[in-house]
Amino acid sequence: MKGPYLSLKVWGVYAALLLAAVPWYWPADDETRWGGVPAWVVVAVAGSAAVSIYTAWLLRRPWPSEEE
Amino acid sequence: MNEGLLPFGTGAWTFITLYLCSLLLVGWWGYRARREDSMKDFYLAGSGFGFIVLVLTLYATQYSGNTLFGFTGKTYRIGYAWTMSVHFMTAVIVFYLLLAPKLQARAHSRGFITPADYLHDRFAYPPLSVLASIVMIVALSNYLLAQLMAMGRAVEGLSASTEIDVYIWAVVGLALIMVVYETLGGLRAVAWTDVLQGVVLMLGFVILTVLVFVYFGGPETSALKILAQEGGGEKLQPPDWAMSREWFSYIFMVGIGAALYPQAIQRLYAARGPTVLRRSLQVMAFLPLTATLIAVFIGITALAHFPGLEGADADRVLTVVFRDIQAQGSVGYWLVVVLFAAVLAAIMSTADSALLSISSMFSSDLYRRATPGASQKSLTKVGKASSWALVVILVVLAIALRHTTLLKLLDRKFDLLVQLSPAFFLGLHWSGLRARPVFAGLVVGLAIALGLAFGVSGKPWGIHAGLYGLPVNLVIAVGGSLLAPKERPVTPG
Repeated sequence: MKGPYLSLKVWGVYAALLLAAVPWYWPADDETRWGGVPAWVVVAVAGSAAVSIYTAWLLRRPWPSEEE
Repeated sequence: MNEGLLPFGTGAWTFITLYLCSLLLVGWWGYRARREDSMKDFYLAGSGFGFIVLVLTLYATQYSGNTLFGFTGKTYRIGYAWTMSVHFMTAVIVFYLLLAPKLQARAHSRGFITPADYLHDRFAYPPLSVLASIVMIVALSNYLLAQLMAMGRAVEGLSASTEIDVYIWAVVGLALIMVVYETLGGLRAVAWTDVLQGVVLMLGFVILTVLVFVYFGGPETSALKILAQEGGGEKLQPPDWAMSREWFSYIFMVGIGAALYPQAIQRLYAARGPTVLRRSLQVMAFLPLTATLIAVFIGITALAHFPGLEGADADRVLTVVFRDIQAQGSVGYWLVVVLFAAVLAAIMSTADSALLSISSMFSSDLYRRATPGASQKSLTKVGKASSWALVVILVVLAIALRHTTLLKLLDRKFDLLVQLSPAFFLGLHWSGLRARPVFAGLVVGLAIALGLAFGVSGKPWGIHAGLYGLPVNLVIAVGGSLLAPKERPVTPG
């Protein structure tokens, strides 16, 4: 039985979101703040929120065991 | 430094005492609601939980003393870089996608009680199931110890008294309350108290956020104050490449490791059905954005307003914030009383789940295998006795090791738990995975993880020791399975 989330597309999206959500690419000397919060933190949290939304979206479909 | 809260008055102590007594009452209700003296009834609450109870028990179990004290303390020490905690708590739910659907279906059809029951069913190789149980018991005992220490520190912050050692009395007293309601009502008591504790914790997070905004100002105020401190700019800077590696390491380590928490796996088993579990996970996916992010926000605020704390005092920085709010007048005082109840709720709800899980593994995985003829009633009794014995040992350790910081304890258990991931994640999806290579991989993975963690340093090159052991573990498990002669047929899911 194939698992419901075993697809390259699903894990490819997660990999892309992970690379965007960890600010390894952010310039070290950037001091931009949005609402008092460093801009890189806002981007990192937005990345994490995107992972949450995508996960909840994946979980909207019933699992195979619900259809048995 | 031990700048405790202003002493609570009679009214506040009455409130806290009533709250703690209500936990014992819920334990008694759990005892009254039991249907039979069986392992399934005691450890999985019989027919299982519906949506509300499942969400709140998962929430209260996952967000703990470490979230409140450890995470605010860590943010206080390293600054905004601890935003990575939001990522790794979200990663736990992502890894559940690979685990929950198949494991829950299999647990319901085969009647599993513990995580090792799955391993026994899937691999039919006792050395693997027994070693996995030992790994989980050790990792979870470590976690429980951290929670007991957090209990002591939380109450210690309440009093500047030098006449009695508040830490010791708090650890002993709260552990006693916990073990009483846990042995009375099993998972029913633990999950029902989790509902109460989860609601108090959610309320606490909301109150804390509002209070911190009102009394200390928003992020801009904090940022300006931090920038004015010597070296403060570093606490606002993005992670450099070395710190980014640590972020990736934490995300994989905690994401995989916490998905394999035995108490969390047992909650997957205890869901009333797959629909309830799937919907609960949908909600859980968003909770790091509330609980963990708030802990980061509080840590940053504390760094701005109360600089200069180090070591174990930094772990207690939340207490310093509470004291300041408390000093603002009677409204602040009473809100801190509620917040204090929320802190106790966070710690106790995680600790009781870990304790129950260890007790189930001891009686079901170790004692039952050693004495195959034991009745369900005697197995449950052994489980309860093991809870009491373990609490006594860990209370003594919590008192002896009181000056170790919380995060050091947190890291070690994930080094161990991630080594179980090939058996669970791969074992559920690939029928070709064989028992002996999985066992060999686990042994080698554990040896590497522990050797690096204690021999070299916790995180060589910023990567957790467990993540050095895991690839080698995986290569042995997969390579060995591909090369090994065919064993008996197995069903992966």
